Amino acid sequence: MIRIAASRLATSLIALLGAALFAFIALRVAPGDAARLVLGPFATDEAVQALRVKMGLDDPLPVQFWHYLTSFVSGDWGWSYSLGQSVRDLLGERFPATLELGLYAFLFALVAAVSLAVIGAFRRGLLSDGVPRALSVFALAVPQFWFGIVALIIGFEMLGLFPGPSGRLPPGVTAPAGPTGLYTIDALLAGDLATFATALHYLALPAITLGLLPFGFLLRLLRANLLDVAGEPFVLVARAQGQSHFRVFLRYVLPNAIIPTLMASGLILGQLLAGSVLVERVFNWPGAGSLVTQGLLQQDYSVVQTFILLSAFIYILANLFVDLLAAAIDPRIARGAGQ
Amino acid sequence: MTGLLDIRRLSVAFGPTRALSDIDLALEPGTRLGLVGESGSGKSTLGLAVLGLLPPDAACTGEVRFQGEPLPWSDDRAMTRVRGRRIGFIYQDPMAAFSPVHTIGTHITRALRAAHPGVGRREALDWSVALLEEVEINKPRERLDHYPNEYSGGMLQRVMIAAALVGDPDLLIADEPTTALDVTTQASVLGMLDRIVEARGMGFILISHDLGVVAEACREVAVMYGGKLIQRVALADLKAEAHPYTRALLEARPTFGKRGQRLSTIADFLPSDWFDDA
Repeated sequence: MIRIAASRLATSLIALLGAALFAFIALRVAPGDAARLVLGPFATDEAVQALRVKMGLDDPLPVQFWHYLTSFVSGDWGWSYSLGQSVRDLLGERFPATLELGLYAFLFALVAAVSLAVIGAFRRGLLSDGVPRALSVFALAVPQFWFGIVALIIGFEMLGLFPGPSGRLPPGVTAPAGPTGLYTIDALLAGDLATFATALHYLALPAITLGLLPFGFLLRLLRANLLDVAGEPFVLVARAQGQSHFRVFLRYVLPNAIIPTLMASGLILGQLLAGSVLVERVFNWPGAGSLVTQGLLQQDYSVVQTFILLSAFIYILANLFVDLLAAAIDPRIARGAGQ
Repeated sequence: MTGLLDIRRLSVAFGPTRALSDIDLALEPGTRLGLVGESGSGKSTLGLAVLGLLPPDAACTGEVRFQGEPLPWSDDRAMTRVRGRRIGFIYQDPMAAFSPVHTIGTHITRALRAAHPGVGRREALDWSVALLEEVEINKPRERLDHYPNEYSGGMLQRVMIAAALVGDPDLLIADEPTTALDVTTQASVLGMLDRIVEARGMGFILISHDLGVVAEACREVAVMYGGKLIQRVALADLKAEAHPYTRALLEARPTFGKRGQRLSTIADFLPSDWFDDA
């Protein structure tokens, strides 16, 4: 287990380096001269050249890459010229909102998919099996932004059950101060249950909207795997030994069927944490998605580049975690890596 | 004296396909019956029907009495108490009969505690070690922590036999227990089954397509064809009074006397009443 952890960690580091290299190259081949962009069209060539030297753009590419890596690791993520703020401050403000939304979307997708798939596969009736099947098709077919708008019209406009598209907290409520920047967790840490409930209430619709697609995907995947495994001979043998339907399902079918779902959910978690531009837009969510769109449109590449690297980092971390989890469940993975 | 197993007019259909039609078969305690036939003749279906483990889309009619009482197929919880404790089952492919993510010890203790609900964890562990010893697995305590992919097919089949016998059943149904094994392992597994069945005096149904295997472990043979039981005969009388189909099966066996000749085959046809709506 320690060996597999070490080997996965090494692969993750290589992947991370690859992501950094990609972000670096993407910035170098992008049209436009960064120094020219900073100084504007009326600056003299001498001034631009001087700034190029100052920014290190005249150094050989490997040296530039080295500088870029070391400054990223030391927390210097560059300067956003369009917003006049350091990228670190900007993302520090916006990224937690995206993280929290992605995390809750993921939780919703996983919990809902697993429970519905399990109920449907355990007792295959019209209601218990038909409803999950219809739901998964719906979730996969519906465009996210459309679902978000409809959810707002019904949940906010018509029924008034949920808050409108007004961000993470109602105006007047101060954000809980805390180390994570995730309002629900910070509120819990501070013991402020009222703010926790409010933040959760504001998260509900955006999280469900964002989690809808992965929910449908995971539901479909797990349901198919459960039905597959239920037909395996070892299930028949366990039943023939006098173990009840429920126990065999819980002890043999579920552990064998859930591994592909866990692996897939690692990829999904990474995706959810990284990109939710459309959903953030619909709900006016003050996350990193809108910041990045803006950065792209205004050629503010240091913002985009840092965001790419951060999402890659989270994505790789999520996969590392899932790999280790799968190895803990399936001994063949752990032993296979040891050989 | 009540019989051990009494199957009356048992029919099973999957949609329009009839897998079993009107099977009548009675077994006295201690009977060792070989159930032979080609693939698709309904042998395995018969075994699963007795255990009440046919897939849900199977339409099953008729009655099976076990030790005088009808088996409660419609009540799965009641059947759970029959399986393992009164009727044991051995599956044909040992490699597929174990969940790949659980240790052998987990498999055995679960089977054990299903058959003996009162047994505690520690006691189950000691018992499992004893069981593995009984089926000749070396270093049983260490071996309990291994996973199925670290066992050979023959070892797994012996473990499955141990697990099937843990509830001390009165009838053991073995569905092609040696088919997936190589010839040497076949002989040792078959020998072990033979000894255990003999020692416990249990009823034994050996499902096989191999008359040689049946001849080694059974005293009677029932021949199935196209979902029907066409003949039941004592092993000794098999050659003398064989049904034409049984004779064809016998002739298809490779023996020393037939060296250099082509083996005879059985013409490939389906019985006309295979489909209900034909």
